[in-house]
Amino acid sequence: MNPAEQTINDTSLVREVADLRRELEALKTRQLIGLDNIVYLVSEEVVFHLPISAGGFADRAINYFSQGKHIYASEPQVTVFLNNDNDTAYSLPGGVALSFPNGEPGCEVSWRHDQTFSDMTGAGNKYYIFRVRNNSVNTVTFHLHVRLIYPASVLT
Amino acid sequence: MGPSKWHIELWSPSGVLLADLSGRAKNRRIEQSRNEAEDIRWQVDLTELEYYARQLKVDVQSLVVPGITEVRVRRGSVYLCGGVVTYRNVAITPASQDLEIRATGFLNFFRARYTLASQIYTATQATDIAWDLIDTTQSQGADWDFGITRGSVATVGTHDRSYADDEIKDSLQRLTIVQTAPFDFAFSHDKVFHTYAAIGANRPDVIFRYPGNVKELNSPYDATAVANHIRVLGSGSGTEAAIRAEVDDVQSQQNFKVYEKKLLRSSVDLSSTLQAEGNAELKAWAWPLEVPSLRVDGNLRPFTTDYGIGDYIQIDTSGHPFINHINGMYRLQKRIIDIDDNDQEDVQLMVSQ
Repeated sequence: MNPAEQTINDTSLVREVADLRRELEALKTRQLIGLDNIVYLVSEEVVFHLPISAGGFADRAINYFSQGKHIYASEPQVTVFLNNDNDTAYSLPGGVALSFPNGEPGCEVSWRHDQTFSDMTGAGNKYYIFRVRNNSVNTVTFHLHVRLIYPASVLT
Repeated sequence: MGPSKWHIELWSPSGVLLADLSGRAKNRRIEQSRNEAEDIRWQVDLTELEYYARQLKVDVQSLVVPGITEVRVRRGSVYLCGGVVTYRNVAITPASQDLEIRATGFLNFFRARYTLASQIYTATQATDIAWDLIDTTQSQGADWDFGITRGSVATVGTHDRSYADDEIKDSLQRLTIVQTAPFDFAFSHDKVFHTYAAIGANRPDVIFRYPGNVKELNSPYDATAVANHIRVLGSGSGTEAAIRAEVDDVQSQQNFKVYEKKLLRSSVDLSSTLQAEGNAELKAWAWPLEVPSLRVDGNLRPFTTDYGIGDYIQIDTSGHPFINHINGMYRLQKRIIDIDDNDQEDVQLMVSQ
């Protein structure tokens, strides 16, 4: 450091302003954003009660509408209970009360964020389709619980 | 005005001598500072300049073109510095008609230049980083080339550095203030970029004595901006993704208590660079600033061409117990030379230990 340039003189204010300008410019470079910088919300829960006979299946869809018409990433949080709702002993796949260690054989649930029926920047909706399938030999009632984790915005 | 030992030469960017204003320039001031751009100012009588241009058979307006014409200053046969003309002002009154001209050193070319959006160096010689910053920006096309070439190369040690749209002048200066592998640089009068492990030399033969050739002495001792705990905030937002460094000068803290300072370096994503910048800031600010300033008679030895920026020179101020400590070898950090119409030189030196 050149101490002669540190002293208070006519150019001190100019140097400080120049330093300030550089610090402001540097803010426009890539700035990594950590988890504590992004606010996520969890939507209200949607519940479907679906009695499915042996060998059957059912589809259900949920449309989430965002007030701001932007593309955004979100994640459904899903829990399925078989026959006994809200009883973790009957939670698919590992509930202790289910017939086999891995649940009723052939009971499965799947979902996707559908590309064709979603229109985030137009109508503002994200279309999630859920399918429950009962490949067991008994009639099973699926209790399907769904919440959406999404970046803070107004969602209906 | 008569012949002068001071020559202010006007040059084209391509290295053609256009004019020598020796004997025509007045109110000359030359400011030089270590690792900083020079500041060169002078005036010329407009009528004399117009007459001179007629003798040279050139358009007088073409002699001094701000942003294009370059200047080289020499005392006798020794060049002191060079720069580019940035400003001219015609001032006409009933009593006088003068052209005021200002020029700035070649370092300030790079005040308006930035690194690439991503320029990364790993274990690279510090002086090579400095030259590459200059070379890369000059290589972007014909209109980007200032004509700066590389001269002497110092070997001082390596750094990791990551630049993102950073101002090149500031980036060059930051490389000179780190505690590990610092160096000095200078642009010579002919646009050559030189690097040095430390510019200057020990000059016990160069003595400034009060009373004697020192006309005036000022010795400010300033604790206004002491900072001995530095937080350096780098790239990133929030606590999860942002990087930061914190450094301390414990001895200063024991002396003065803790004084904190925060540095923002949002374009820096390397912890080692933050640490280095924090330590450089500590070196500069952890202790009160004392930069003695001497006004000396430049017409007495040692002359301005006998010593240079960065040299360690002998200061002798015996006679006042309060400033007894200002005796010994001091490094010349900055020099301002004022030359009047009779070539009388008034020189202000700013020194430090």
